[in-house]
Amino acid sequence: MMWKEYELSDTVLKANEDVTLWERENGIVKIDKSTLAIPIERDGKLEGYVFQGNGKLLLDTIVETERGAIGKPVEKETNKPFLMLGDAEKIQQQLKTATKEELSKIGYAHEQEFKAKARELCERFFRKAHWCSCNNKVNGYVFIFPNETDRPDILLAKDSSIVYKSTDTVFLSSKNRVILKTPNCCILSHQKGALTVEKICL
Amino acid sequence: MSDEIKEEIKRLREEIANLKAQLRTEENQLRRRPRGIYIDIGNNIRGCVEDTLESVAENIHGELEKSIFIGPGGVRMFKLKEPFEEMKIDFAKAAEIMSALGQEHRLRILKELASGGKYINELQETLSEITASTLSSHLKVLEEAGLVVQEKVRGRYLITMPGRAALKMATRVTQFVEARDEE
Repeated sequence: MMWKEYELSDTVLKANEDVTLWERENGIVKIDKSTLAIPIERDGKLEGYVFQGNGKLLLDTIVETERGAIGKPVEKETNKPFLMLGDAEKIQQQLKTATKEELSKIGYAHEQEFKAKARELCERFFRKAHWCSCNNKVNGYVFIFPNETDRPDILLAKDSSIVYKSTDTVFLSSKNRVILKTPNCCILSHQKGALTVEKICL
Repeated sequence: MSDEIKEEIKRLREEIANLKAQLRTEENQLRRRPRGIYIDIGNNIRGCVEDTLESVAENIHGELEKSIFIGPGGVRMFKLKEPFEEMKIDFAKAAEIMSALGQEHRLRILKELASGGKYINELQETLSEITASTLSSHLKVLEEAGLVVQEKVRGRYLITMPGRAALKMATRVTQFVEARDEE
């Protein structure tokens, strides 16, 4: 789906408690209490949110092999706006309308200012994404975390399958199969073994 | 001198003159054509291509043999820039790693983790002689040296590739010294 099919709601919400947005055995995305949220809708249906506040992504992008573990965990804290598409209804109860004071705590004078920031992020992402849809029935999620570069960090998750891409890491995990690419190595791992290509500069 | 020999000398002179003329023509042709690398493929184009490919393949194979090791554990690529004696070493980093290894309990922890990732309580059970706080501090040292990595979500500790290599090195050196002492 293209961005023109999505709309940002006029209501700005805030988390009234710490909320776990997504959680698996090797990854978690959560937001702290008082994080701002603006709903993303399509055809009047809630599809996701743009959040801003204190958010955290933890992901164990580590592959265990017979020759030792490769990779290191991702621990990303963000206070910039980030986007989530997926099972947005699940967390609706943990969000309520934000007051002006709560907006100002994050640095916004009014709702429209946050909305403009959220729109900017969405347009930046959707302009590059040719197609994007998250079907809640298949338990799929898309997270977009801006970074210092033009290309944001992306986390795609569906059931137990994960795809994560950052500036220096690509991690794909599905059941017992894992592909990890770091600046120094590339590893393909499955139940029966692993194929590792390393760059060792001596 | 017989007539036959005279005839033969005459024939050979003509042949030499012809060859000289042919050589001059070829030299002129070479001078006239644009600069570049020319490969005379003659009539056997296929053979020439095969020879060239074979030569390139041999070169690539030679380079790969020098830089890649394919073993049961996987494919390893080595970029050997200089001989071992001339290799640069970060002595501070090396000392940090050796210091992390230089403690009996830490070696025991590495040995435990070599059989698979473990939670701290599992390590605590196996290494009951180490107190909980000491175990945590040892794990921190090993983690800082890059010999162990901790999962952020599950919390398990895993031995890294350098960790396994370091443990192997410690084992080999010990075995070597013990064997020498026995002699």
